Amino acid sequence: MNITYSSENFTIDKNGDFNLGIILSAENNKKISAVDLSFKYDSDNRDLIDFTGIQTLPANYFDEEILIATSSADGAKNLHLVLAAKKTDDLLSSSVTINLAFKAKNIDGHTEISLIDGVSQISGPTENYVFEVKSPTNAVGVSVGSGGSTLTQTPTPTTPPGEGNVLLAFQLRFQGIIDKPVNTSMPVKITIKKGGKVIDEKIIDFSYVEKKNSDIKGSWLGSGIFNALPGSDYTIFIKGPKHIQKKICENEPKEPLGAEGSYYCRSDQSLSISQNSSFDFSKITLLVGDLPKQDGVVNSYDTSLVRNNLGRNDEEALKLADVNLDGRVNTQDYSLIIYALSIRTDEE
Amino acid sequence: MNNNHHFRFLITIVFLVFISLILILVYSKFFSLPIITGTPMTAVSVTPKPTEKTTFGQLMLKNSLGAIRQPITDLVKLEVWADSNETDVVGYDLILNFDTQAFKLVGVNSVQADFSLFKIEKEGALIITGTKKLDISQKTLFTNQKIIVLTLKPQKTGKFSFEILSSLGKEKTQLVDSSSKIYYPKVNRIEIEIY
Repeated sequence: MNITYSSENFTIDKNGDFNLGIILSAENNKKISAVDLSFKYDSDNRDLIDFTGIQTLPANYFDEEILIATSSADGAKNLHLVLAAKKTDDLLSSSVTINLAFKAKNIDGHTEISLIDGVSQISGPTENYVFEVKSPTNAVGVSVGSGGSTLTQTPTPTTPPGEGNVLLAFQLRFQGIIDKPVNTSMPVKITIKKGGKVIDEKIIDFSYVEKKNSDIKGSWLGSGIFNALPGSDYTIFIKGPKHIQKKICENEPKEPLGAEGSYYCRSDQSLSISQNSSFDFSKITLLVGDLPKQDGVVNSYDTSLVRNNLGRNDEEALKLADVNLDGRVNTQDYSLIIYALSIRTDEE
Repeated sequence: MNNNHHFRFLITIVFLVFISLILILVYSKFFSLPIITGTPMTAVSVTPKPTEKTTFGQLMLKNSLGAIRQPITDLVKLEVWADSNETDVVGYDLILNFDTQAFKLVGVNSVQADFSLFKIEKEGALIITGTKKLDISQKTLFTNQKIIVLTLKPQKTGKFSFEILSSLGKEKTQLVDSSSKIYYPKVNRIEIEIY
Protein backbone atom coordinates (compact mmCIF):
# COMPACT_ATOMS: atom_id res chain seq x y z
CA MET A 1 0.00 0.00 0.00
CA ASN A 2 1.53 3.29 -1.10
CA ILE A 3 0.52 6.56 0.50
CA THR A 4 1.43 9.67 -1.45
CA TYR A 5 0.51 13.33 -1.15
CA SER A 6 -1.19 15.27 -3.96
CA SER A 7 1.40 17.99 -3.43
CA GLU A 8 4.43 18.37 -1.19
CA ASN A 9 4.31 22.14 -1.00
CA PHE A 10 1.54 24.67 -0.69
CA THR A 11 1.87 28.44 -0.87
CA ILE A 12 -1.35 30.13 0.10
CA ASP A 13 -2.64 33.53 1.05
CA LYS A 14 -3.55 34.44 4.59
CA ASN A 15 -7.08 33.14 5.36
CA GLY A 16 -6.82 30.99 2.23
CA ASP A 17 -8.07 27.42 1.82
CA PHE A 18 -6.24 24.43 0.44
CA ASN A 19 -6.80 20.69 0.07
CA LEU A 20 -4.15 18.10 0.73
CA GLY A 21 -4.90 14.87 -1.11
CA ILE A 22 -3.79 11.65 0.59
CA ILE A 23 -3.65 9.06 -2.18
CA LEU A 24 -3.93 5.43 -1.11
CA SER A 25 -2.96 2.88 -3.75
CA ALA A 26 -3.12 -0.83 -3.05
CA GLU A 27 -0.97 -3.21 -5.05
CA ASN A 28 -2.28 -6.22 -6.95
CA ASN A 29 -5.75 -4.74 -7.16
CA LYS A 30 -6.41 -5.40 -3.47
CA LYS A 31 -9.41 -3.54 -2.06
CA ILE A 32 -9.32 -0.92 0.67
CA SER A 33 -11.97 -1.13 3.36
CA ALA A 34 -10.64 0.60 6.47
CA VAL A 35 -8.15 3.32 7.18
CA ASP A 36 -6.60 4.55 10.42
CA LEU A 37 -4.29 7.52 9.87
CA SER A 38 -2.87 10.12 12.23
CA PHE A 39 -1.43 13.42 11.09
CA LYS A 40 0.52 16.11 12.89
CA TYR A 41 0.62 19.74 11.87
CA ASP A 42 1.37 23.17 13.26
CA SER A 43 4.06 21.81 15.58
CA ASP A 44 5.74 24.08 18.14
CA ASN A 45 2.47 25.94 18.75
CA ARG A 46 2.59 27.60 15.32
CA ASP A 47 -1.21 27.75 14.96
CA LEU A 48 -1.12 28.76 11.28
CA ILE A 49 -3.74 26.45 9.81
CA ASP A 50 -6.97 24.75 10.88
CA PHE A 51 -8.37 21.46 9.66
CA THR A 52 -11.88 22.01 8.28
CA GLY A 53 -13.04 18.66 6.91
CA ILE A 54 -12.52 15.74 4.55
CA GLN A 55 -13.83 14.53 1.24
CA THR A 56 -13.04 11.26 -0.44
CA LEU A 57 -12.71 10.14 -4.01
CA PRO A 58 -14.70 8.04 -4.86
CA ALA A 59 -17.25 10.24 -3.10
CA ASN A 60 -18.84 8.80 0.07
CA TYR A 61 -16.52 5.84 -0.12
CA PHE A 62 -16.40 5.36 3.62
CA ASP A 63 -19.61 4.63 5.51
CA GLU A 64 -18.23 5.48 8.93
CA GLU A 65 -15.90 8.32 9.69
CA ILE A 66 -14.39 9.27 13.00
CA LEU A 67 -12.33 12.43 12.99
CA ILE A 68 -10.49 13.41 16.12
CA ALA A 69 -8.67 16.72 16.26
CA THR A 70 -6.56 17.20 19.37
CA SER A 71 -3.46 18.99 20.46
CA SER A 72 -0.43 17.18 21.80
CA ALA A 73 1.91 17.99 24.62
CA ASP A 74 4.68 19.11 22.23
CA GLY A 75 2.49 21.93 20.96
CA ALA A 76 1.44 20.24 17.69
CA LYS A 77 -2.10 19.70 16.44
CA ASN A 78 -3.08 16.10 15.79
CA LEU A 79 -5.68 14.77 13.42
CA HIS A 80 -6.74 11.15 13.78
CA LEU A 81 -8.89 9.65 11.00
CA VAL A 82 -10.68 6.34 11.34
CA LEU A 83 -12.63 5.54 8.19
CA ALA A 84 -14.49 2.35 7.45
CA ALA A 85 -16.29 1.21 4.31
CA LYS A 86 -19.05 -1.33 4.85
CA LYS A 87 -19.70 -2.02 1.18
CA THR A 88 -19.65 -5.31 -0.60
CA ASP A 89 -16.32 -6.23 -2.17
CA ASP A 90 -17.42 -5.31 -5.68
CA LEU A 91 -18.00 -1.71 -4.57
CA LEU A 92 -14.61 -1.36 -2.93
CA SER A 93 -11.65 0.18 -4.69
CA SER A 94 -7.91 -0.33 -4.70
CA SER A 95 -7.29 3.40 -4.96
CA VAL A 96 -8.84 6.01 -2.70
CA THR A 97 -8.00 9.67 -2.28
CA ILE A 98 -8.75 11.41 0.99
CA ASN A 99 -8.80 15.18 0.64
CA LEU A 100 -8.01 16.98 3.87
CA ALA A 101 -9.29 20.56 3.79
CA PHE A 102 -7.40 23.24 5.71
CA LYS A 103 -7.86 26.95 6.20
CA ALA A 104 -4.97 29.29 6.87
CA LYS A 105 -5.14 31.89 9.60
CA ASN A 106 -4.39 35.55 9.14
CA ILE A 107 -0.72 35.04 10.02
CA ASP A 108 2.41 34.83 7.88
CA GLY A 109 4.55 31.78 8.41
CA HIS A 110 5.57 28.28 7.45
CA THR A 111 4.28 25.01 8.81
CA GLU A 112 4.25 21.32 7.96
CA ILE A 113 1.76 18.48 7.81
CA SER A 114 3.05 14.93 8.27
CA LEU A 115 1.85 11.41 8.96
CA ILE A 116 2.72 10.32 12.48
CA ASP A 117 5.32 7.56 12.48
CA GLY A 118 4.28 3.98 12.91
CA VAL A 119 0.58 4.33 13.56
CA SER A 120 -0.94 4.20 10.06
CA GLN A 121 -3.01 1.12 9.48
CA ILE A 122 -4.99 0.19 6.40
CA SER A 123 -6.88 -3.03 5.98
CA GLY A 124 -8.79 -4.89 3.30
CA PRO A 125 -12.15 -6.62 3.47
CA THR A 126 -10.69 -10.10 3.59
CA GLU A 127 -10.01 -11.68 6.94
CA ASN A 128 -6.46 -11.35 8.23
CA TYR A 129 -5.54 -8.77 5.61
CA VAL A 130 -3.65 -5.71 6.75
CA PHE A 131 -1.66 -3.80 4.14
CA GLU A 132 2.00 -3.10 4.54
CA VAL A 133 2.00 0.67 4.41
CA LYS A 134 4.67 2.65 2.54
CA SER A 135 4.28 6.19 3.81
CA PRO A 136 5.71 9.33 2.19
CA THR A 137 9.20 10.18 3.34
CA ASN A 138 8.72 13.94 3.47
CA ALA A 139 6.35 16.23 5.27
CA VAL A 140 4.13 18.58 3.31
CA GLY A 141 5.30 22.19 3.55
CA VAL A 142 2.74 24.99 3.84
CA SER A 143 3.75 28.63 3.43
CA VAL A 144 1.14 31.16 4.45
CA GLY A 145 1.25 34.77 3.21
CA SER A 146 4.80 35.93 2.65
CA GLY A 147 6.04 32.63 4.10
CA GLY A 148 8.01 31.81 7.17
CA SER A 149 11.26 30.27 8.17
CA THR A 150 12.40 27.10 6.47
CA LEU A 151 11.70 24.01 8.51
CA THR A 152 13.75 20.88 8.53
CA GLN A 153 12.23 17.78 7.00
CA THR A 154 10.45 15.48 9.39
CA PRO A 155 11.80 11.95 9.80
CA THR A 156 10.59 9.26 7.47
CA PRO A 157 7.45 7.56 8.78
CA THR A 158 8.09 3.91 9.40
CA THR A 159 5.93 1.08 8.19
CA PRO A 160 3.68 -0.20 10.96
CA PRO A 161 3.80 -3.88 11.66
CA GLY A 162 0.91 -5.93 10.31
CA GLU A 163 -0.24 -7.23 13.67
CA GLY A 164 -3.92 -7.95 13.46
CA ASN A 165 -6.88 -8.37 11.28
CA VAL A 166 -9.91 -6.42 12.49
CA LEU A 167 -10.09 -2.67 12.88
CA LEU A 168 -12.20 -1.77 15.89
CA ALA A 169 -13.24 1.78 16.69
CA PHE A 170 -14.75 2.65 20.06
CA GLN A 171 -16.74 5.50 21.46
CA LEU A 172 -16.70 5.59 25.26
CA ARG A 173 -18.06 7.69 28.09
CA PHE A 174 -16.43 7.97 31.49
CA GLN A 175 -18.12 8.84 34.75
CA GLY A 176 -17.84 12.37 36.05
CA ILE A 177 -16.41 14.06 32.95
CA ILE A 178 -19.03 16.63 32.09
CA ASP A 179 -16.95 19.34 30.44
CA LYS A 180 -13.96 19.39 28.17
CA PRO A 181 -11.23 17.81 30.30
CA VAL A 182 -7.85 19.33 31.03
CA ASN A 183 -6.19 16.31 29.47
CA THR A 184 -7.94 15.22 26.27
CA SER A 185 -6.02 11.98 25.84
CA MET A 186 -6.47 8.84 27.94
CA PRO A 187 -4.89 5.37 27.69
CA VAL A 188 -7.56 2.68 27.89
CA LYS A 189 -7.03 -1.07 28.09
CA ILE A 190 -9.24 -3.04 25.70
CA THR A 191 -9.42 -6.79 26.16
CA ILE A 192 -11.23 -9.05 23.73
CA LYS A 193 -12.35 -12.44 24.95
CA LYS A 194 -14.15 -15.32 23.30
CA GLY A 195 -15.38 -18.28 25.30
CA GLY A 196 -13.66 -16.88 28.39
CA LYS A 197 -10.28 -16.89 26.63
CA VAL A 198 -8.34 -13.68 25.98
CA ILE A 199 -8.03 -13.23 22.22
CA ASP A 200 -6.19 -9.91 22.27
CA GLU A 201 -5.47 -7.07 24.64
CA LYS A 202 -4.23 -3.59 23.81
CA ILE A 203 -3.82 -0.22 25.45
CA ILE A 204 -5.21 2.40 23.11
CA ASP A 205 -5.02 6.16 23.44
CA PHE A 206 -8.50 7.62 23.42
CA SER A 207 -9.18 11.25 22.57
CA TYR A 208 -11.94 13.44 23.89
CA VAL A 209 -14.38 14.80 21.32
CA GLU A 210 -16.99 17.40 22.15
CA LYS A 211 -20.47 16.61 20.92
CA LYS A 212 -22.81 19.34 19.89
CA ASN A 213 -26.59 18.91 19.85
CA SER A 214 -26.39 15.83 22.05
CA ASP A 215 -27.43 14.87 25.57
CA ILE A 216 -23.87 13.75 26.08
CA LYS A 217 -21.47 16.70 26.01
CA GLY A 218 -18.49 14.67 24.95
CA SER A 219 -17.20 11.20 24.41
CA TRP A 220 -13.87 9.49 23.91
CA LEU A 221 -12.82 7.98 20.60
CA GLY A 222 -10.12 5.46 19.91
CA SER A 223 -9.37 2.63 17.55
CA GLY A 224 -6.93 -0.16 16.94
CA ILE A 225 -6.31 -3.31 14.99
CA PHE A 226 -6.87 -6.47 16.97
CA ASN A 227 -5.90 -10.08 16.41
CA ALA A 228 -9.45 -11.34 16.17
CA LEU A 229 -11.52 -12.95 13.46
CA PRO A 230 -14.88 -11.55 12.39
CA GLY A 231 -17.58 -13.43 14.25
CA SER A 232 -19.92 -13.42 17.23
CA ASP A 233 -19.93 -14.41 20.91
CA TYR A 234 -17.19 -11.98 21.79
CA THR A 235 -16.90 -10.07 25.05
CA ILE A 236 -15.09 -6.76 25.26
CA PHE A 237 -13.59 -5.48 28.52
CA ILE A 238 -12.80 -1.80 28.91
CA LYS A 239 -10.61 -0.43 31.68
CA GLY A 240 -9.59 3.21 31.94
CA PRO A 241 -6.56 4.42 33.89
CA LYS A 242 -8.62 5.33 36.99
CA HIS A 243 -11.58 3.09 36.34
CA ILE A 244 -13.27 -0.17 37.17
CA GLN A 245 -13.19 -2.66 34.33
CA LYS A 246 -16.51 -2.99 32.48
CA LYS A 247 -17.56 -6.14 30.67
CA ILE A 248 -19.62 -5.56 27.52
CA CYS A 249 -21.31 -8.32 25.58
CA GLU A 250 -23.61 -6.58 23.14
CA ASN A 251 -22.94 -4.21 20.27
CA GLU A 252 -25.11 -1.36 21.53
CA PRO A 253 -25.21 -1.49 25.33
CA LYS A 254 -27.46 0.98 27.11
CA GLU A 255 -28.29 1.91 30.68
CA PRO A 256 -31.32 3.76 31.99
CA LEU A 257 -30.94 7.51 32.22
CA GLY A 258 -29.46 8.49 35.58
CA ALA A 259 -28.45 4.95 36.49
CA GLU A 260 -24.75 5.33 35.89
CA GLY A 261 -22.82 2.10 35.71
CA SER A 262 -25.95 -0.04 35.86
CA TYR A 263 -25.31 -1.93 32.60
CA TYR A 264 -24.37 -5.55 33.11
CA CYS A 265 -23.82 -8.34 30.62
CA ARG A 266 -26.51 -10.98 30.39
CA SER A 267 -25.69 -14.54 29.47
CA ASP A 268 -28.06 -14.48 26.48
CA GLN A 269 -26.27 -11.56 24.83
CA SER A 270 -23.72 -11.75 22.06
CA LEU A 271 -21.32 -9.21 20.69
CA SER A 272 -20.22 -9.57 17.09
CA ILE A 273 -17.14 -8.22 15.39
CA SER A 274 -16.75 -7.57 11.68
CA GLN A 275 -13.66 -6.67 9.68
CA ASN A 276 -14.23 -3.02 10.55
CA SER A 277 -16.49 -2.46 13.52
CA SER A 278 -17.46 0.74 15.25
CA PHE A 279 -18.78 0.30 18.78
CA ASP A 280 -20.77 3.07 20.37
CA PHE A 281 -20.39 2.34 24.09
CA SER A 282 -21.13 5.95 25.03
CA LYS A 283 -24.64 5.08 26.22
CA ILE A 284 -23.19 3.33 29.24
CA THR A 285 -20.98 4.86 31.92
CA LEU A 286 -17.54 3.55 32.73
CA LEU A 287 -17.18 4.08 36.45
CA VAL A 288 -14.11 5.53 38.11
CA GLY A 289 -12.63 4.07 41.28
CA ASP A 290 -9.55 1.95 40.75
CA LEU A 291 -6.80 4.55 40.91
CA PRO A 292 -3.11 4.09 40.07
CA LYS A 293 -1.43 1.82 40.84
CA GLN A 294 -4.42 -0.28 39.87
CA ASP A 295 -5.22 -3.56 41.58
CA GLY A 296 -8.73 -4.28 40.27
CA VAL A 297 -10.46 -3.21 43.49
CA VAL A 298 -11.85 0.06 44.82
CA ASN A 299 -10.86 0.26 48.48
CA SER A 300 -9.47 2.50 51.19
CA TYR A 301 -6.25 2.98 49.22
CA ASP A 302 -8.21 4.65 46.41
CA THR A 303 -10.25 6.85 48.77
CA SER A 304 -7.02 7.80 50.56
CA LEU A 305 -5.41 8.94 47.31
CA VAL A 306 -8.20 11.45 46.77
CA ARG A 307 -8.27 12.52 50.41
CA ASN A 308 -4.49 12.89 50.64
CA ASN A 309 -4.32 14.96 47.42
CA LEU A 310 -7.38 17.08 48.07
CA GLY A 311 -7.09 20.63 46.72
CA ARG A 312 -3.99 19.91 44.69
CA ASN A 313 -3.72 20.69 40.99
CA ASP A 314 -0.14 19.69 40.22
CA GLU A 315 0.58 17.08 37.58
CA GLU A 316 1.42 14.28 40.01
CA ALA A 317 -1.79 14.71 42.01
CA LEU A 318 -3.95 15.02 38.89
CA LYS A 319 -2.45 11.86 37.45
CA LEU A 320 -3.33 9.95 40.60
CA ALA A 321 -6.62 11.31 41.82
CA ASP A 322 -8.34 13.79 39.47
CA VAL A 323 -10.96 11.33 38.30
CA ASN A 324 -13.29 13.80 36.60
CA LEU A 325 -10.35 15.50 34.83
CA ASP A 326 -11.37 19.00 35.81
CA GLY A 327 -7.82 19.99 36.73
CA ARG A 328 -8.13 19.77 40.52
CA VAL A 329 -8.51 17.00 43.09
CA ASN A 330 -11.65 17.95 44.96
CA THR A 331 -14.74 16.66 46.74
CA GLN A 332 -16.35 15.70 43.43
CA ASP A 333 -13.57 13.20 42.89
CA TYR A 334 -14.08 11.93 46.43
CA SER A 335 -17.83 11.47 45.88
CA LEU A 336 -17.20 9.52 42.69
CA ILE A 337 -14.79 7.17 44.46
CA ILE A 338 -17.20 6.68 47.35
CA TYR A 339 -19.93 5.77 44.84
CA ALA A 340 -17.57 3.20 43.31
CA LEU A 341 -17.08 1.45 46.68
CA SER A 342 -20.48 -0.14 46.16
CA ILE A 343 -19.37 -1.63 42.82
CA ARG A 344 -15.98 -2.49 44.24
CA THR A 345 -14.24 -4.73 41.67
CA ASP A 346 -13.37 -5.13 38.02
CA GLU A 347 -15.86 -7.16 36.04
CA GLU A 348 -14.23 -10.36 34.87
CA MET B 1 83.97 11.40 76.79
CA ASN B 2 81.46 12.77 74.35
CA ASN B 3 81.31 9.39 72.51
CA ASN B 4 80.75 7.60 75.80
CA HIS B 5 77.79 9.87 76.51
CA HIS B 6 76.23 9.10 73.10
CA PHE B 7 76.70 5.37 73.60
CA ARG B 8 74.89 5.47 76.96
CA PHE B 9 72.03 7.45 75.46
CA LEU B 10 71.62 4.87 72.64
CA ILE B 11 71.70 1.96 75.13
CA THR B 12 68.96 3.70 77.17
CA ILE B 13 66.77 4.14 74.10
CA VAL B 14 67.18 0.48 73.07
CA PHE B 15 66.39 -0.60 76.62
CA LEU B 16 63.24 1.54 76.76
CA VAL B 17 62.00 0.13 73.41
CA PHE B 18 62.67 -3.40 74.64
CA ILE B 19 60.76 -2.77 77.91
CA SER B 20 57.85 -1.23 75.98
CA LEU B 21 57.60 -4.29 73.74
CA ILE B 22 57.65 -6.59 76.76
CA LEU B 23 54.89 -4.54 78.41
CA ILE B 24 52.71 -4.61 75.26
CA LEU B 25 53.08 -8.38 74.96
CA VAL B 26 52.24 -8.95 78.62
CA TYR B 27 49.26 -6.56 78.42
CA SER B 28 47.87 -8.23 75.29
CA LYS B 29 48.22 -11.67 76.84
CA PHE B 30 46.39 -10.79 80.02
CA PHE B 31 43.83 -8.29 78.70
CA SER B 32 43.17 -9.97 75.31
CA LEU B 33 43.87 -6.99 73.09
CA PRO B 34 42.93 -7.78 69.51
CA ILE B 35 45.92 -8.65 67.49
CA ILE B 36 45.64 -7.45 63.93
CA THR B 37 47.16 -9.91 61.58
CA GLY B 38 47.77 -9.71 57.90
CA THR B 39 44.88 -12.05 57.05
CA PRO B 40 42.72 -10.43 54.31
CA MET B 41 39.09 -9.69 55.22
CA THR B 42 36.50 -11.62 53.26
CA ALA B 43 32.93 -10.48 52.43
CA VAL B 44 30.35 -12.47 54.32
CA SER B 45 27.19 -13.22 52.41
CA VAL B 46 24.13 -13.53 54.62
CA THR B 47 21.12 -15.10 53.03
CA PRO B 48 18.01 -13.63 54.61
CA LYS B 49 15.70 -16.16 56.09
CA PRO B 50 12.43 -16.43 54.19
CA THR B 51 9.77 -14.62 56.18
CA GLU B 52 6.02 -14.43 56.01
CA LYS B 53 4.38 -11.20 54.80
CA THR B 54 5.33 -8.52 57.29
CA THR B 55 2.45 -7.36 59.41
CA PHE B 56 2.12 -3.91 60.87
CA GLY B 57 -0.41 -3.01 63.52
CA GLN B 58 -3.45 -5.16 64.12
CA LEU B 59 -7.15 -5.58 63.46
CA MET B 60 -8.50 -8.06 65.99
CA LEU B 61 -11.93 -9.52 66.59
CA LYS B 62 -13.44 -9.79 70.08
CA ASN B 63 -16.79 -10.90 71.37
CA SER B 64 -18.11 -7.88 73.25
CA LEU B 65 -19.53 -10.10 76.02
CA GLY B 66 -16.27 -11.95 76.31
CA ALA B 67 -18.29 -15.16 76.18
CA ILE B 68 -17.49 -18.18 74.07
CA ARG B 69 -21.04 -19.60 74.50
CA GLN B 70 -24.32 -17.81 74.26
CA PRO B 71 -27.99 -18.67 73.69
CA ILE B 72 -29.51 -18.47 70.23
CA THR B 73 -31.93 -15.84 71.48
CA ASP B 74 -29.16 -13.34 72.18
CA LEU B 75 -27.59 -11.11 69.58
CA VAL B 76 -23.88 -11.66 68.95
CA LYS B 77 -21.94 -8.45 69.29
CA LEU B 78 -18.49 -8.55 67.75
CA GLU B 79 -15.94 -5.82 68.11
CA VAL B 80 -12.97 -4.99 65.92
CA TRP B 81 -10.03 -3.59 67.87
CA ALA B 82 -7.31 -1.76 66.02
CA ASP B 83 -3.75 -0.72 66.63
CA SER B 84 -1.92 1.32 64.01
CA ASN B 85 1.54 1.41 65.62
CA GLU B 86 1.39 5.19 65.91
CA THR B 87 0.64 5.60 62.21
CA ASP B 88 -1.93 8.20 61.15
CA VAL B 89 -4.71 6.15 59.55
CA VAL B 90 -7.06 7.61 56.93
CA GLY B 91 -8.69 4.37 55.80
CA TYR B 92 -8.91 0.66 56.30
CA ASP B 93 -10.40 -2.45 54.72
CA LEU B 94 -11.22 -5.66 56.48
CA ILE B 95 -12.55 -8.97 55.29
CA LEU B 96 -14.73 -10.75 57.82
CA ASN B 97 -15.47 -14.36 57.12
CA PHE B 98 -18.32 -16.12 58.92
CA ASP B 99 -21.16 -18.55 58.20
CA THR B 100 -23.75 -16.31 56.61
CA GLN B 101 -26.31 -19.12 56.87
CA ALA B 102 -25.87 -19.27 60.62
CA PHE B 103 -25.88 -15.54 61.33
CA LYS B 104 -27.88 -12.66 59.93
CA LEU B 105 -26.04 -9.35 59.90
CA VAL B 106 -28.09 -6.79 61.78
CA GLY B 107 -25.70 -3.85 61.88
CA VAL B 108 -22.18 -2.58 61.33
CA ASN B 109 -21.26 0.61 63.15
CA SER B 110 -18.16 2.72 63.38
CA VAL B 111 -17.18 3.55 66.94
CA GLN B 112 -15.23 6.55 65.64
CA ALA B 113 -17.43 9.38 64.48
CA ASP B 114 -14.55 10.50 62.26
CA PHE B 115 -14.91 7.47 60.00
CA SER B 116 -17.61 6.42 57.54
CA LEU B 117 -18.16 2.74 56.93
CA PHE B 118 -19.06 1.04 53.65
CA LYS B 119 -19.85 -2.63 53.49
CA ILE B 120 -20.34 -5.13 50.72
CA GLU B 121 -20.88 -8.87 50.81
CA LYS B 122 -18.63 -10.78 48.48
CA GLU B 123 -17.72 -14.42 48.01
CA GLY B 124 -19.41 -15.32 51.29
CA ALA B 125 -17.49 -12.70 53.26
CA LEU B 126 -18.29 -9.24 54.55
CA ILE B 127 -15.93 -6.55 53.26
CA ILE B 128 -15.87 -3.37 55.33
CA THR B 129 -14.13 -0.19 54.23
CA GLY B 130 -13.61 2.65 56.67
CA THR B 131 -12.77 6.08 55.27
CA LYS B 132 -11.88 9.07 57.36
CA LYS B 133 -14.28 11.93 56.79
CA LEU B 134 -12.95 14.74 54.63
CA ASP B 135 -13.57 17.47 57.19
CA ILE B 136 -11.46 15.77 59.86
CA SER B 137 -7.94 17.10 59.81
CA GLN B 138 -6.50 15.83 63.09
CA LYS B 139 -4.43 12.66 63.14
CA THR B 140 -6.01 9.28 63.86
CA LEU B 141 -3.79 6.88 65.73
CA PHE B 142 -5.42 3.58 66.63
CA THR B 143 -4.04 2.66 70.03
CA ASN B 144 -5.48 -0.79 70.66
CA GLN B 145 -8.98 0.56 70.61
CA LYS B 146 -12.42 -0.53 69.47
CA ILE B 147 -13.25 0.81 66.00
CA ILE B 148 -16.21 -1.27 64.77
CA VAL B 149 -19.15 -3.03 66.40
CA LEU B 150 -20.97 -5.69 64.40
CA THR B 151 -24.34 -7.06 65.49
CA LEU B 152 -25.43 -10.47 64.26
CA LYS B 153 -28.52 -12.54 64.93
CA PRO B 154 -27.87 -16.28 65.31
CA GLN B 155 -29.96 -18.51 63.06
CA LYS B 156 -28.53 -21.91 64.05
CA THR B 157 -26.98 -23.62 67.03
CA GLY B 158 -23.48 -25.01 66.94
CA LYS B 159 -19.87 -23.91 67.08
CA PHE B 160 -18.98 -21.16 64.64
CA SER B 161 -15.85 -19.28 63.76
CA PHE B 162 -15.43 -15.62 62.86
CA GLU B 163 -12.22 -14.70 61.15
CA ILE B 164 -10.65 -11.57 59.73
CA LEU B 165 -8.95 -12.80 56.56
CA SER B 166 -5.71 -11.25 55.38
CA SER B 167 -6.89 -11.52 51.79
CA LEU B 168 -9.67 -12.88 49.65
CA GLY B 169 -9.07 -12.76 45.90
CA LYS B 170 -8.10 -9.19 45.10
CA GLU B 171 -9.44 -7.93 48.44
CA LYS B 172 -7.03 -7.35 51.29
CA THR B 173 -7.32 -6.47 54.95
CA GLN B 174 -5.25 -3.33 55.26
CA LEU B 175 -4.62 -0.02 56.95
CA VAL B 176 -3.82 3.04 54.82
CA ASP B 177 -1.98 6.05 56.20
CA SER B 178 -1.99 9.76 55.40
CA SER B 179 0.54 9.29 52.60
CA SER B 180 -1.49 6.42 51.07
CA LYS B 181 0.99 3.83 52.30
CA ILE B 182 -0.57 0.41 52.85
CA TYR B 183 0.04 -1.73 55.93
CA TYR B 184 -1.08 -5.31 56.43
CA PRO B 185 -2.15 -5.76 60.06
CA LYS B 186 -2.08 -8.84 62.24
CA VAL B 187 -5.53 -10.48 62.23
CA ASN B 188 -7.25 -13.21 64.24
CA ARG B 189 -10.05 -15.73 64.44
CA ILE B 190 -12.50 -16.40 67.28
CA GLU B 191 -15.04 -19.15 67.95
CA ILE B 192 -18.47 -18.80 69.50
CA GLU B 193 -20.82 -21.61 70.44
CA ILE B 194 -24.52 -20.92 70.00
CA TYR B 195 -26.91 -23.12 72.05
